[in-house]
Amino acid sequence: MTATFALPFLTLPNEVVTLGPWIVGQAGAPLLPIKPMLDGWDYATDLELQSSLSIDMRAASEVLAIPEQELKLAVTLNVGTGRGRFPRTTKRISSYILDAEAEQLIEMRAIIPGNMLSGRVHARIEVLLAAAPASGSILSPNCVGSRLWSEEISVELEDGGENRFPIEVVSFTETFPNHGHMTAPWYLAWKPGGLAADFGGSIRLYVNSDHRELAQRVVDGDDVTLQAILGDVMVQMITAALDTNDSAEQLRECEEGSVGAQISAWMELAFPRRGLSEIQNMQRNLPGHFHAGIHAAAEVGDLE
Amino acid sequence: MSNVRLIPRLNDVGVTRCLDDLDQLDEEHSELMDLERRRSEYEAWIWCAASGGSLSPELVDEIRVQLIAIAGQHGFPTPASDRQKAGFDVAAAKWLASHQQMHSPEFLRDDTWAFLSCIVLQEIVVWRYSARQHGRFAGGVRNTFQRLWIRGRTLDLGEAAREERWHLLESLSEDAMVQIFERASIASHPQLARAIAQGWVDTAERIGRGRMEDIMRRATKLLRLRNQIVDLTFLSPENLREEVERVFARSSEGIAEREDRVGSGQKTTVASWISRAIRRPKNVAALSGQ
Repeated sequence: MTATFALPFLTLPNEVVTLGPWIVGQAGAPLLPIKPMLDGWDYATDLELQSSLSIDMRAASEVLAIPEQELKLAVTLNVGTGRGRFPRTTKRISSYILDAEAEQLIEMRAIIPGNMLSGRVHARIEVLLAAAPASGSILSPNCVGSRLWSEEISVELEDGGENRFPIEVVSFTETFPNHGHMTAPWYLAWKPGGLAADFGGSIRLYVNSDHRELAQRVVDGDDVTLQAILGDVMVQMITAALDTNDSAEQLRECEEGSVGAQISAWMELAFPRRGLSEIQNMQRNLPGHFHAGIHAAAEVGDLE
Repeated sequence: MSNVRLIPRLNDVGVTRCLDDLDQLDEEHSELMDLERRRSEYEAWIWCAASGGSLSPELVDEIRVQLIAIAGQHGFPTPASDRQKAGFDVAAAKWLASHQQMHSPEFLRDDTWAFLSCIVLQEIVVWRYSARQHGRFAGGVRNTFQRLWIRGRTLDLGEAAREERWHLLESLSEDAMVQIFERASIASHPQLARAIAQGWVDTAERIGRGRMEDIMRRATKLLRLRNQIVDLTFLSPENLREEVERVFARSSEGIAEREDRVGSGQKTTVASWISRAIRRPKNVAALSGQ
């Protein structure tokens, strides 16, 4: 189950829903187990995705507290494309209805024309409630479309990799001539204020390759170097968010994948269970604790 | 072979350089560079897909010619009123959405739109906004033309709708457009975006456009929460319409109908059914994953 929030009804655990391995490749060619990036793709290459899913309907009925004869589930496969936490556009490729009588193993296969894909392919398999049951417990889902289980995959295509932390190693003397930060070791390009904007599309961290040793440490993934850089990024962004007027309201409204949601997640990581006003007080009165707390949370080993 | 027309792309460094130059020209009150100068100035950061389609300088030329013509019908190059700018937005969105060769994944890319805005149509962006509004040049949901393309594509009701084809596009306020198209969880599902747009139109008809801003914000917030627990796109078109209607009714509770509509088809309101979703923090990918 991939939900990052609590659903207000009973849902299906992985013990009840079994998803087979995803395989992917050029349509018509042998398919291979999925990897984060697919090499050699272009618009002329149609993609094929395959997987299988089975649901133990008896167990599902027990878990959801819905009589087996009343339980009707839908398995949907949505495919999206385009950059960002959410794909730019999403389409339902297939939908299967399952009940106690139906075959419980579903073979899923999608052929996606290359001229519909942009930068990445994102697939989401979901199990939904397909019909409102006549009976059930107070915690049973009862609205058609209730999300009961889901799994997502994302494969980078073409110039893949943009969905990871946006970072680039460049020469600042060539890239930012005449800028005050030309000799800085790194530079975070972003504009405070757009908290609702997509994180991956709004910020970019430039590391100065003119500082050869630093650039090499970044390329090699040196933990302490990365912690120092990420700590600075987090301090900059958290501080800007805290200094925003009505920051609490703005942050509350930010959805998953946005700049604001990321800042909130970093604050929770650095200052678990502290309210916004508490963190603002610490920023004002104990700036050393504030900065060190964030830098400690930037330990790369702790990040996903 | 793919029929995709490949458009040049401008990478982030190129966008940064272009914006720096625009800031400097603006400070010095200098004229913009002409198209040829822009192409050569930022050449190092312009690139194209290596394969998979056909490079199409003709399409780039057509986009420039047509959008300059549309802008001309709305006051370009002389300073335009808000009304003229809004007229440009609608006319340009219709043209962009109707062009068959622009129904292409190339136009889902931010760097494609950055190229068009920074290089090909820079003077239109400066006219429509200003040289200082960087987000209107860079690719993304606020890009001058990208936002119009996605609005047009999503809100196009199709030729079968005849004179109603552009009804949603022509009716929605700028604020309503922003609430829909700057929320990726809504904008990525065209049927949901259209349903919300229709909900806005119906509610605005009932209570008046002038009172819609807060209502739209409440409604999109509720619908985004609702969509996290129920897949609204799984509902039938009728059920989705009813769901959206209920949310707009709830969001506009207590607001009187327009005087000319009182007594005509008053809608009922419903009790709250939204449960607060609790989101756990989630971290960004590690820096080392390069």
